[in-house]
Amino acid sequence: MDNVQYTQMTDYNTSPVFDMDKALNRVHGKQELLARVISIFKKNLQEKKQSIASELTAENWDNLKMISHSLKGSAWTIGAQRLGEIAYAMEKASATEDISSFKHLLTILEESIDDINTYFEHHNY
Amino acid sequence: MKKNNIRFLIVEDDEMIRIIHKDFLEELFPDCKIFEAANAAQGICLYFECRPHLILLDMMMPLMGGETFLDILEEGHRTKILKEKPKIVIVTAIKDVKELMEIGKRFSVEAVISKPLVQSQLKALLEDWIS
Amino acid sequence: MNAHSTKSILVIEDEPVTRTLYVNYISKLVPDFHLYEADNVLEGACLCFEKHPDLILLDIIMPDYGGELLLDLMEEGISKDILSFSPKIIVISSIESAEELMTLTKKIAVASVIPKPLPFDTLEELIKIHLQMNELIN
Repeated sequence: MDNVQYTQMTDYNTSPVFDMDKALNRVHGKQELLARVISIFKKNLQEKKQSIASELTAENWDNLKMISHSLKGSAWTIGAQRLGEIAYAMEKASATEDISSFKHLLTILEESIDDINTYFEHHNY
Repeated sequence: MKKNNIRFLIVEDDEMIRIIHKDFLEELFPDCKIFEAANAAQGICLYFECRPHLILLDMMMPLMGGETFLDILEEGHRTKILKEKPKIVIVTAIKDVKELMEIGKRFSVEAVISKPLVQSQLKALLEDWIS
Repeated sequence: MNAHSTKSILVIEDEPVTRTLYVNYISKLVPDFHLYEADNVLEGACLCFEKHPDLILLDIIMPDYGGELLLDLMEEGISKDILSFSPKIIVISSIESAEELMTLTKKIAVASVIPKPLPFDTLEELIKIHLQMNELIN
């Protein structure tokens, strides 16, 4: 019954996991630059995931908001649309300190991170 | 601002975004000098050391954010300690319209661009300002 | 004027009477020095970066932004090798706890922490020590 108020992964399916056109546009078609930038993005994703976990334990909402906001900007810049949308929702949940929503969104985020890592692997990034 | 000796300062905590901004600027202005800061504190230090003509400024950064950066430069100008006025372009993932409007009114802010940065927008502005 | 040997001191203190007291005292102590003053840390930071004072007297408790702002700027600027200069900062703090004293003293660029109300003879000694002067004029 409590899932009624929460969003589901399917709610984010309208956004692509990764918009390759956008990404290539961002780097002016430079493949090498794209590879470099994706590698940094992947590393960053892991770091942010860990930070979120520790900040959540401590319930540091200001930090959680900052990390979510940063993740949102980063994801949207590289074309990871779906991830960006989820991070945006997490940013809003942090602003209202809505811990149950945030935790729920976090599981969706983790799934989305797996999806994008799979995408990168398939495309040899 | 002259093309051949232009100095840019990028103040952005996300490394990936810094790289993309830098690549974009270098392509447009091959002779330019680019300075990078990961937060407003580094940004302020670099500002005074290097006196960039144009600043790409993120708002939310750990340690010290864009608001503080603007506050410091504004005060410097108000007290006439700072003689020059750099052009500041805010690049932010902030979505709240009211907040964005307030930021747009700040000292030296020429434009507020939403992340992800649409490079054609920035390109148009830069080409306007830089000969 | 022999630019390279003229030293300067910056006083950052919001309370006008207190600031005037400091400035007057210091100017009598070292009349040849350039003296700069700021009533808030934003202005103080700009003066610091623009004028490169040798010594800064910084009140830590100020309305709006506190003195820590300058210490944070120094921390990043010096640890990341951005700044071409390194001022010495004497922090004025009412030092409520040993912990606070420890935290302040460990910060980059903090040369000393001095209590409020400021003991002027201690200030004189600190200025001599930090600016490596064997004696102060008059």
